[in-house]
Amino acid sequence: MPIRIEHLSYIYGEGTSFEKKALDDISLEIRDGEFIGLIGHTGSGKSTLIQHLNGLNKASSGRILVDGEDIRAEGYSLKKLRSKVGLVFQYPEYQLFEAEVLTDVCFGPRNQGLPNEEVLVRAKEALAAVGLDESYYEKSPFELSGGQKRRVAIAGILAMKPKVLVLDEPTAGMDPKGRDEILDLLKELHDSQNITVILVSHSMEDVAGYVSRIIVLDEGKILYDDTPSGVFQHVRELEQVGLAAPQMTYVMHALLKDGWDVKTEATTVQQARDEILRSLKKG
Amino acid sequence: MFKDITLGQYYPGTSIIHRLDPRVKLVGTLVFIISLFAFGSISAYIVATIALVIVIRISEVPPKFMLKGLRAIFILMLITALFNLFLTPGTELVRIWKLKITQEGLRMAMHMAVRLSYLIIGSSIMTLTTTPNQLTDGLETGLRGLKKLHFPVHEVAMMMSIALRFIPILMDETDKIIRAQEARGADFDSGGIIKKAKALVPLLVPLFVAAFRRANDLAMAMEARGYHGGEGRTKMKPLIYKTRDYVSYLIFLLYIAVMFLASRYIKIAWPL
Amino acid sequence: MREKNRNIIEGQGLTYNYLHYDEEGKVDASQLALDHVDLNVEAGQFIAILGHNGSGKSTLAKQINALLLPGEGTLYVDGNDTRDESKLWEIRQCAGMVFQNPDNQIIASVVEEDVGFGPENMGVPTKEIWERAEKALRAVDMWKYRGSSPNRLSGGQKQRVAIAGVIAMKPKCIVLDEPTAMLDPGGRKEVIETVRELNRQEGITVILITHYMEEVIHADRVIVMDSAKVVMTGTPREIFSQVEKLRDLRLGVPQVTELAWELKKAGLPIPEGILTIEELTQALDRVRAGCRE
Repeated sequence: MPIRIEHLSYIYGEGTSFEKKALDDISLEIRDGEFIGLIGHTGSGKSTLIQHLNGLNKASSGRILVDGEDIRAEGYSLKKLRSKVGLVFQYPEYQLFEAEVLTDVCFGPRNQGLPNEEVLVRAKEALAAVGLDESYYEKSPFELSGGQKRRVAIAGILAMKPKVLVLDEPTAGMDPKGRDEILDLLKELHDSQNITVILVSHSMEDVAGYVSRIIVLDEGKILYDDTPSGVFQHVRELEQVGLAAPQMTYVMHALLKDGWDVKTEATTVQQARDEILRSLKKG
Repeated sequence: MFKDITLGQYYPGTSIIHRLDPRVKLVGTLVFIISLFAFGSISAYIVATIALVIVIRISEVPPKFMLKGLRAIFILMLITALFNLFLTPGTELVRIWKLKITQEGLRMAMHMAVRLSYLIIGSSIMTLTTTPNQLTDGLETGLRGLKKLHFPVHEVAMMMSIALRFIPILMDETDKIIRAQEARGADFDSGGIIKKAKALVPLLVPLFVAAFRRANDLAMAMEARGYHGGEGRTKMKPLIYKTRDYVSYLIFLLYIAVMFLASRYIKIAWPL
Repeated sequence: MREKNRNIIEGQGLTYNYLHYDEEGKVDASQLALDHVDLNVEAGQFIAILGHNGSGKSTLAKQINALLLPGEGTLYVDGNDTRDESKLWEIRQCAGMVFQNPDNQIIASVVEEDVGFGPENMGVPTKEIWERAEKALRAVDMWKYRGSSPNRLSGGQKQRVAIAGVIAMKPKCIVLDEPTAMLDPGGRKEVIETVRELNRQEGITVILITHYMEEVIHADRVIVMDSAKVVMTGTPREIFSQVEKLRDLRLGVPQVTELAWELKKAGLPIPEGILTIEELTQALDRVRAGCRE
C-alpha cells in the first residue's frame, strides 16, 4: 500500500501573528515494506508531517494519496485511513486510559466496528506481537514500566492491523536497553508481518542501525532522502541544521583524514569494525 | 478550539495602563463594575462607555484582539438577555405564540446586555494589561488584611499563578491526547449527549493522569527550591505605589462623582 | 567538625524502602530502592551516576536534597544531617536539584521571576534577588530571554532556566536527575556544556544522573547502580573498560568505546577504556604503523 505525498504544505496558525510554515512543498513516495527513519530537530516539521499521513492535520495545499486515493477527497473515510495507517504518539500516557491492558488494546479495533470476538482475537494477537503474554492482560497500564507502557501503546495501534506503522520518537526518555528492545521489536514487526515502518527520531545512532532509508527534514523542507550511509556523508550540512552524524561516521572520517584507506560509509559499530579490519589486512 | 479565548491572556505592551500597579487595576475594575450596577441610567452608561473607550485607547490593546476573544462569551450573554426578555412579567408589548415580550423584560434585557458586556470588557482590559503574576501579587498584597481572619491569601494567590502557568501546557496536552485517541479511531463529535460523554473517557483519563503527575513533580520541585509557604518570603518584584497610581485613584473618585451627577441630573428617556 | 577538602556529601549505609499501601492503609508491599549505599563526594567534583530505570538512582538523588530521608544509615550534606529537621532549608539551599521534565519545575510565567523563586523562598532582600537572577541567567546564557514566557522556549533552554533557578540559590552542589532525557541532541549538548562550565568555572559540585553514556566521559568519577546497590565505581575509563559487565547491567557504552573493544576482541593491540574519537584514531594509527614495520 504505497503512500504518495505531492507538494504538501502546511501553514500553522494561518492568518494570525503566529503564522508559520510548518511544511513547505513536501513530495515523497513511501513504498510497501520500507523501514524509514524520519529525522529532524525539534520544530523541523516531522511530527506535523506524520499527523498528515493519518488525517489528523489538514494540508494547506498539496495532497496525499494512499493506495492511489486522495485522503482528503470527498467521501474518503478517515476510519478507513486510520485502519491503514497507524500512528503511535510519543508518550504512551497520551493514549492509555482503560483499567486493564487487554481492554485498552481493544479500544482501536472496537472503534473500527468489528464484532466482539474479532476485537479480542486481534487485541491478543497484538499483545503477543509486542511480547506481552497473558499475565499482562488484567494488569493496569498505569502500573507498568515505561517500556511496557510503550509496548501496550504500540499493541493498541497494531490491533487495528495497519499496513503502515508510524511512530513518533518511540524511544524518548528510555534507558539504553529499553531503547534497543523497542527498536528490535519494530524490526521484528517489520520483518515478520511485512509492515511498512516509519520511525520518527532525533537520534542518528538509533536510526542508523535499523532503517534502509532516511528522510531528513529541516524547516519544513526535505533536506535529504537517501540510504543511511548516503545521508551521513553530509556531516557538515547535518551539523549546520542542528543534527549530527552517528559517531561511527566521525570515526571513519577521522581515519580517512589520517591517511587510512577506508570507505566512510560505515554507520554502525559492526560496519566500522569490519571496514577497519579490512583496511588493515589490505595495508 | 481553546486558542481563541483571550480572557485571562496577557497582551504585552508598555502603555501606562500596563505599568500601573496591579492593585490599582484591580480596584479600578471593581469600581467600574460596581458603578455599572449602582447607576442604571442611560446617562450613566454613556459615561461608562466614554471611560471604557478612553481606557482602551490608552492601553494600546487593539480592540479587534479584545473583541475576538470575547466572541464565545457574548453568546452566553445573548442567552441571558433572551431569558430576561421573555421571562420578566409586566406590560405586554408583543406576543409570539406562548412567549410574551414585556416592556420591563425588554428594559431588563438591555440593562443586562450592557452591564455584562461592559463587565467583561472591563475585566479583560485588566487581564490583557497585567501579567498573571502581577495580578496574583496584586491580589495577595491587596488582600493581606484578610490574613488576620485566617484566610490563606498567599496560598490562594500561589495556586492562581500556578494555574495560569499550566493552563496553556494542559491545553496543548489535551490537543495531543485528542489526536492520539483519534488515531485509534475515537470519535468525539458524533452521537447524542450520552454517547458524547462516554467518548470523553479516553480523553479525560490520560488528561487527569498527566495533570496529577505534573502536580506531583511540581510540588517536589517547589520543595527542592526551598518553598515552605508565604512565611519569611521576600519578593523579587514588590509592589510599590508610584505617583501615577495615586493619580489613578483620584481619577476613580472623579469617575464615581461624574457617574453620580450624570445619572442624577441628566435624564435621558429609554427608547421604547 | 570535618576538615577542609572534606566530602560535601557523606552517605553511609543508605537504605530506603518504597511502601505500597492497600485500601485499608496497611502496608501490602514494599520495594527496596536503596540497599546500604555509601556515597562520598568531594567538594568540586563532577560525579555521574548511571543505572537503568528503577535501579534506585533517582531515589538516591532525592536523598541528597532531603526530599526523601534515609530509612537506615546516615547522610550528611555539607556537614548537616539530612534527618535534622532544623537544617532542612539549609540543606536544600546547599544542594540544588534539577529534574527531568523542564515543564514541571518552572513555576513562574516569566523566566526572570522563576529564577527569583528560590531566593524569594530563602528570604533574600529584593535588590540581591535581582543581582542573583542576573548572574544566574548570564551563567547559563539565558539573560536575553529574561522577559520571555517559559512556554516559548525550547527544551534545552527551559532546562537552562531551571538550572539558573538553582544557581540563584548559591548552592555548593547541584544534583541533576536525568536532565536531558526529554531533550533533542542539540538541547542535550547545551545542558551538558552548561553544567560542565558551572563545575569548572564556579567550582560547583555536580552530581549528574543520566542514561547517555556520552555525557559521563568527562566526569571525575562514575557510579553505576543496579537493583538498589552501587555495583561499580571508578573513573570513566575504568568503568568503560568493562564493556561486558555494563551490558549485563542493561547499560551500553559510548559507541567509540564499543568499537575499540570490538577491535581489541578481533586481536588488535588497543588499550582498554577508549573514550573519544581522538584516542581511538591515535591508537589505530599506532597499530597501523606497527603492521607496516
